Amino acid sequence: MPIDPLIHAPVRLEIMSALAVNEQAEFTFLRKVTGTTDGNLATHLRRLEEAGYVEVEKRFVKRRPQTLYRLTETGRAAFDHYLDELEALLPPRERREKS
Amino acid sequence: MNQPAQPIEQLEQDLATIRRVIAESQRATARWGDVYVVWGLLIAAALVVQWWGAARGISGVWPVWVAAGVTGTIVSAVARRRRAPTGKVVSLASRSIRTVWAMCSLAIWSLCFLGIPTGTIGARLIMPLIAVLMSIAVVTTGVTFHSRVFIAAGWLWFIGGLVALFLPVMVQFPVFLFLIAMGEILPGMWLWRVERRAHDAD
Repeated sequence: MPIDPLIHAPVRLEIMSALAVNEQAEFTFLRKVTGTTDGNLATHLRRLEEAGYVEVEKRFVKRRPQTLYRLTETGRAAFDHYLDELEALLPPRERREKS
Repeated sequence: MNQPAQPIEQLEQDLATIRRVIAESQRATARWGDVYVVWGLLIAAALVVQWWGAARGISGVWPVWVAAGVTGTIVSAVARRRRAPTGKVVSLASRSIRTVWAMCSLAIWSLCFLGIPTGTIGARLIMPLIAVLMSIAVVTTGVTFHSRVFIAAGWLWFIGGLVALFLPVMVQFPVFLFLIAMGEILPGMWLWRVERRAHDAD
């Protein structure tokens, strides 16, 4: 099975990594991590949402809108699988360090 | 199915991306240096008063611990509240650390305000017990956030607690002050500086 192309794109990999180590993250934090524009980030997030990898929660904090994202079980499993694939494709660490 | 060829450089770049994002997330969740420093100073001040009271045979200085505890709790709550709107990430690591600190603090205050008055814990045992509980919280913080400074500080608390077991109470006071300075205030200042630098870089 090829490496998951949905995660493999750089921005989406950054999003998935950020959400894998955090229970939830705000849109602005993801924008900072990815260093991309609002529109581009929203597009990538929508693709991940459509695939069932992330879920979104919109709420108000002190009358300001806040959009939170978190990984779904499917997303977490897909990211774990992606890491396994990555590990399998990379040569062992010792060999990489020698070369 | 055959695996499509992936250049090693590309895969290593992916790994680097994952590592960078994890590091950024850790920086975003570990902003507590100032709270460590404030708690350290409050406890040090209360300890000096307690030491002074013990040296003069005055037993009614315990309210200073209540004052230090209440002040520290208010400062922590205010710091948490102020950061909440900008705390854009919630990680399991930061929630775990907060829980460990909350439970260790609760255990320490319970030992002080229930253990000593009921006579269950002698005066000589209280400081070693607190030091060991502190070592649990500090080492856990260090391991979670990959901070050697905090891991070393945690071990210092543990060793200090063991050493204090063999010391009379009046000698335990300066040892405990040393532990607060080296194991709480200094690591807190170090963390504060790291956080400020990261914040300025943003």
